[in-house]
Amino acid sequence: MNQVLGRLTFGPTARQRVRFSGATADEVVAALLDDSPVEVAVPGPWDLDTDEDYWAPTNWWLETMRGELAGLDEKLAWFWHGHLTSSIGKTSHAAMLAQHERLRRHARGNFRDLLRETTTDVAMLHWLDGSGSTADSPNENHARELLELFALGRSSRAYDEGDVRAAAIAMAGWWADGESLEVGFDPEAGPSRPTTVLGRTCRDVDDVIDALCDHPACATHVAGRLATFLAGVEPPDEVRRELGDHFAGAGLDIDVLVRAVCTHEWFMSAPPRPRSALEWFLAAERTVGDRLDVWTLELLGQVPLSPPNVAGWPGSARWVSVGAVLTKAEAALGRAWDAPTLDDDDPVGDAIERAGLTSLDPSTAAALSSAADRVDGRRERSSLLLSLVALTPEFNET
Amino acid sequence: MFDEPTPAPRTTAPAGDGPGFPPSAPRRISRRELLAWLAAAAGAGVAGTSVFAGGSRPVGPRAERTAPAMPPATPDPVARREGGATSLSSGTARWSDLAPAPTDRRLLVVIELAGGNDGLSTVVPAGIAGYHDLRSATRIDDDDVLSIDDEVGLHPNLAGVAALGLSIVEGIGSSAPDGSHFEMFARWWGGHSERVETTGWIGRAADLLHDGSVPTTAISVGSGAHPILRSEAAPTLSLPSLDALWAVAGAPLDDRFLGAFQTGLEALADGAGSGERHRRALGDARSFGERIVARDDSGVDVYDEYGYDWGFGSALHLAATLAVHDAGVRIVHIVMDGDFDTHEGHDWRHPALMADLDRNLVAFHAELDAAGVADRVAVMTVSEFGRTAAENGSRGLDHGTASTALVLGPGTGGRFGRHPSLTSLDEHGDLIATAPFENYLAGTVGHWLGLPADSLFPSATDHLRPFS
Repeated sequence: MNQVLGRLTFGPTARQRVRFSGATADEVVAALLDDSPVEVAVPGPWDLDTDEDYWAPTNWWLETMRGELAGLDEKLAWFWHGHLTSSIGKTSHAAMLAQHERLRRHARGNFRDLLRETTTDVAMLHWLDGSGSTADSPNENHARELLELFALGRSSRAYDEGDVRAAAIAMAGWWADGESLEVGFDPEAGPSRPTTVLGRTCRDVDDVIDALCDHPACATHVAGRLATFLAGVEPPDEVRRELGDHFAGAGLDIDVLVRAVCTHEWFMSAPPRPRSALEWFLAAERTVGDRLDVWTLELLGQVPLSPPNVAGWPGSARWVSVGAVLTKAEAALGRAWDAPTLDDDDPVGDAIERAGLTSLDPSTAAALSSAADRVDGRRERSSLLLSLVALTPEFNET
Repeated sequence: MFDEPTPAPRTTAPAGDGPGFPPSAPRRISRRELLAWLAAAAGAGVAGTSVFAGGSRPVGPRAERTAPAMPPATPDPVARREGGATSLSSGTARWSDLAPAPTDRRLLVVIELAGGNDGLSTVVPAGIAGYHDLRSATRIDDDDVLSIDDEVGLHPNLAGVAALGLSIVEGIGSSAPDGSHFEMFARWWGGHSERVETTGWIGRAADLLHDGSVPTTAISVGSGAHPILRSEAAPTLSLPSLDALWAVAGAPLDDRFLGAFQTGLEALADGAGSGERHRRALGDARSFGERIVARDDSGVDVYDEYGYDWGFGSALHLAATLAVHDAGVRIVHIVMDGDFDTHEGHDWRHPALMADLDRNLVAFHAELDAAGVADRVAVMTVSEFGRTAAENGSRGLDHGTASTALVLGPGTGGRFGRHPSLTSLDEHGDLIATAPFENYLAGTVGHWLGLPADSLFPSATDHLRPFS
């Protein structure tokens, strides 16, 4: 149950543990899939005073993720941000928030709509230099990443350099304004004649999106990316193909894909994976009962709205490192002193409970107990256990 | 059976929805606060004995060391040029005169002057035609320039650096300069002046240096997971500061709380069950920390020795500690606190930055020299671009193109590269780089660390080697 909640949401939260007490993993998955999405109104930059605080949109999103009702849809919004990336470092706050609203709206909608809308939104046009690209001398960045990362995948071998160039020409002519959020198309800069992408005639960006979405490699690629994100390991080829076929058969309905992944035998039996930096951060906050500084996420390398590059955040192996241990130790120690005191009769059990852990290796429990015996007083023992429990192997995976 | 009650739609940002968090804005705990906190926790006078194991200097509030709002109105008139004499030869213990240590014991410290450092205010082209016409509000008076030769001299606030000896590398930039910090940061970090690479050049260097004998050969201090560290395979390490190491290693004997935390980490590392990679990382963090922190017996108080910019000073102190203890780290990347993006007020902000750089580098050399390891260390500066040749209306300088870098350490000395023309400018009125910056990286990194520069920086057209 804990593993499923850790993967499909940012939990397990205390509320989820009460709600799902005694439930099987299958029951948890079914309930999470059927929860109605929490309606989240994405604020504008004027609501957040972004002139004063550069990270206000990131902090707003973190606050939303911390919400007790944040569930599967919050996790999917996070997935799409890491798949159809853009960064606050290369566009305006307003554009980033507007893109975020699109990702949320389509998080379980249709992939074709999602891709179409994000391809011509301000943040993306800035992020991948689509804005200002002309058909005479097209900037290929946007087209290349659209094919390579967003829709088809390099390993699919579904396209070649000619397709990238042809797509770049068909996608030319757009411009975007980060302040007014205006997006426009200049026919003078746009393509003067059709080009051929994946064997299909493309006159404009919509034709390109259709050519990509209709290609069988698209469903397989996106299915593989979502499955890898949730499970922490890449699915075997036959599972990827099976999920892709299902997704394609449903007309790229994301909800159908999400259900297929979450209920797949491969997903349900996947071994524990490392918690991502963000998953650890939110769980550690719940454990010490206090917010951690967003700087901790910066040090761990996973700040929402600021992906490291167009490929988003790297896979789960990245989250285990000496650097991560050092940052986590400092962050946990820095907050634990103000943490709630633990039950004096069973401080170790209470710490484990607050950390949302259920089964511990005996060596982990012994390490916590012997550490607790080394200090005196309820305050010291509580601070020690709550910071130490965040560094246990069990807490660092899901 | 597990239905959630349907929540009321939110119409505003769900601030405060978290379970019982205090409303105060979170922030980073400082080392001083941590020390005070631990002193309180242990109920004893622990403060000052943790990072700096000598413990002879108590750490207390040091309000007097906060940065002044404005720098001194006039720079220290040290080593003013007199009749064209070369002030670079002043001083006795010149770093540049040392013979370098064997290659495999050398450390390279890369200081990133983030924001875009103005080359013309760092190495002042007082004798090159055009400088006086381009700059008025931000011009350094001829009499104040620490003259190197008839053409150029150092900023007056770099007198300490001048006394140590150094190389200057002029005219480096890109043949296709971009005005975006983001774009140019990314190109510098990747080590290619015209496009963005997927790995960072320090990461690639770590791939060549890593042999598994130490947890990491490359560290970045003062930043998050820095893209310059992106490697193909080798582990690299981002550290906020010394504090992060100090959390996991080197607890004083009388600090029971921290001792229990660190013993607990050790027990977790030695445990069983799943999470084998995490447990190994715990063990590596502990052993690496012990290797550095527990052996930091320098007694150096960063506040006293390095000056008020504690972040920068503590990063340099960490680099010195790594060199002294031969920790196997070969590259330390430091993002200097401070803002080189001087769109306005360049005339007073930039001198303060130069003074800060100078003070910290002098302290760094002094620490290395006292330990007898100055021959192991070289320092190089990098910055994403220079600033506009001409001033704007706010006594400032906007994003420019080519810039000048400084290199300190054994075997340095002299001018390298070619200064850009100040009269023949590009179509935007900016400096035309005389060499791609990877030529500078290739020559400096390749020579000092003994690495194959051609494979590290394949786009370099030449190696600008600022060493004799």
